[in-house]
Amino acid sequence: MPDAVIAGAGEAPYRRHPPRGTTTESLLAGAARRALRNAGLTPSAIDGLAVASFSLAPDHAVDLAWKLGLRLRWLMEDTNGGAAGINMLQHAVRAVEAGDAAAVLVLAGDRLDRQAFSELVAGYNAATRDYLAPLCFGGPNALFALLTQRHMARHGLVREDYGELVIAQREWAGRNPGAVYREPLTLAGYLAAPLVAEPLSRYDCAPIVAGADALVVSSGGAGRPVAIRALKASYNPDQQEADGLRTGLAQAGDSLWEEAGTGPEDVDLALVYDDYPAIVLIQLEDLGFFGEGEAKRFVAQTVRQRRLPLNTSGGQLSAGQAGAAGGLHGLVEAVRQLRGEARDRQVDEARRALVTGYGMVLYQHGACANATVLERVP
Amino acid sequence: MRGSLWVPACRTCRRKVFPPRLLCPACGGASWKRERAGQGVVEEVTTVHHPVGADGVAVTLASVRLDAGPVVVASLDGQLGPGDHVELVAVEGAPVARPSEV
Repeated sequence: MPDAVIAGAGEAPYRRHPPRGTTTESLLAGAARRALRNAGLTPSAIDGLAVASFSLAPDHAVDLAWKLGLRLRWLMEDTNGGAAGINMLQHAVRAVEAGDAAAVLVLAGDRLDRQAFSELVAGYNAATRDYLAPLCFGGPNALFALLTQRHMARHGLVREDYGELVIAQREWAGRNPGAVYREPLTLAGYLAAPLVAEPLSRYDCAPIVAGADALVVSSGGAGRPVAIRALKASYNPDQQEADGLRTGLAQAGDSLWEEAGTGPEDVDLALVYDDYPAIVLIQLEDLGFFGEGEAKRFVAQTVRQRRLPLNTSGGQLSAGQAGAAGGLHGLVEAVRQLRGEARDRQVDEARRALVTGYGMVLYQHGACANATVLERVP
Repeated sequence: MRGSLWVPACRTCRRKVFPPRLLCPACGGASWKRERAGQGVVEEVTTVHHPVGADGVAVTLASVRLDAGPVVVASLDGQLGPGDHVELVAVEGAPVARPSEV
């Protein structure tokens, strides 16, 4: 069997206030059409479907297949939020390489209004429903505020350090018409924003938008296919008993780089899951982009000096977080960059990209982490 | 409704966990004993200014390390900060930290 590749990618435009009539499934369909067009395929070529969404109910993956007119021999639904994109990619690659499917459409997206978001965060899992929701905790911002304080104390970071990261991402967003928040941001503006939950301001919390993302995974493709050099995942590595300042990538990183035959110094861009800036720094540390405890130096020398193209779409912090699409957003951006289709924000000579996923807060912090190294096929 | 906050302790290896689990993460045991959460120390505190779903009423939350081991996320009853010793109780089953009476 030939190696599976990513043959195309697409995104339904992210919107803070989507047009009337926009639904989760209309967004998913929009992303699917764009990814198919990008891959040079028609729906009849698709025989596998993977989907992740918090708001597809009462429908499931097979309902979506029906409504998209897809005849399939492989089907999956993923519930891993910010880690869903890479998780679905892992399964899709195996399906294609095993011959179970020839071309898999990988979809994620959501339209969550205020009510739906409120219900989602209060009933995220049984532990949240039973032990956090009664505190009117207001969702993950509170938990990541506590985690960010811990991160600051551990590594001697101040709000300005996170601000540098947020501002650098906003700069990329200014060059991405698909990003929802594009106005330039200064450090003074960042520091002046009202706090959502100490030490987080609204610039530190990925804003909820409506949108969807899609990939096509197949055994070949027109145009410039993107190869998956390595993919590793880790779920519940610390039983929620550690402090959340490491993710499963701390263990998975070595084997990721070894399998990819490369290292953090040799990637041309990094798309790192960014629900909060502290989580970006934690994952980069886990993957060896800087030494243990050197986050402050990394911000000063690499982020501030713009030495690493990081979250070149603007990331979720500026492009927006479209629910479960957040886990696919970085993959779509990586594919665009590696195919040379990123227009005003194109990274020169982009050959190799790191993409990560993170998510599913069980009680205090995310339990899912995964990462992949993608490479342009010459 | 105010009562004790209960923390399950594994009958086999004594590991205490919160929230409850099905099998003990340390030894795989399936038999648990209920113990009072008791005392702990506040580690971090944050105030969520406009929590979703709470009608805009600010809520102050803390991570509290129990003397028994696990960290619980609790709301605070009173002016409390990092390093303060607290006692954990349950209100509607959820953890609330109040100043320790020691």
